[in-house]
Amino acid sequence: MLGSQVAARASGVGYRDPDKGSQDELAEELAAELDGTLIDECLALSPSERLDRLRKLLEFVGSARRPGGDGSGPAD
Amino acid sequence: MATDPGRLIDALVGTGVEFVVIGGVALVLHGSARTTGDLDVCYSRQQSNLAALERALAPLHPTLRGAPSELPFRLDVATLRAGLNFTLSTEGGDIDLLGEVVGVGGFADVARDAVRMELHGHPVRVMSLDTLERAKRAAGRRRDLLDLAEILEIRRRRS
Repeated sequence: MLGSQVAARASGVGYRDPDKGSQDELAEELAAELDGTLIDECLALSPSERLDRLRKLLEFVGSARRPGGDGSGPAD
Repeated sequence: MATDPGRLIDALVGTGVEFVVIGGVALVLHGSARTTGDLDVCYSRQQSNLAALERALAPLHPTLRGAPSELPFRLDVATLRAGLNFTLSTEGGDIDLLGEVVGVGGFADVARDAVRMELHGHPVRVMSLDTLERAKRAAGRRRDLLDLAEILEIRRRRS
């Protein structure tokens, strides 16, 4: 979902603490790198379906982290 | 154990707890594609609500997240009254109980412009996107910037 620049910022690489005035600018930059199609898919769901999607993702991440899991789950 | 936000919300609704879903799950309920490993709620500090919280969570055997397992702990009205914010692990997963939200205020402030969403047949209060933005700006952590970006993108795609 995230581009390399966004991922680097999220991990703290090359990150600079923004003052409040630059939050908008940074947020706009990060928003431009988001995968909007995934958000579109989530927006098409009902709130209950969004909650179920989250539960399934968390179950998958949990099973992937347990011994015997394939470890291919998404990062949280 | 993986957190099941729906199970936790059902437990709170079941005993009539006055709460607002906030944080990452609120963002997800507004359409964000992010994931979050716990449920954050802002709760009313009214005495009757503390009792409802105790009744809701007792069956899920809450413990203080990260505390030594031998540390005696019981989530009851006295404990809730003595504290404000609690980070708990339960049989339904992780839940954070917040009496106040940075940049917003207490339950009454959070609930004021909360939106009602139908979750598994129950109306549940969820922090509004505008208030989420205010809280994220006030918190100002790295991950909050990513959440701000998601909020911007959700608004853009809704319009």
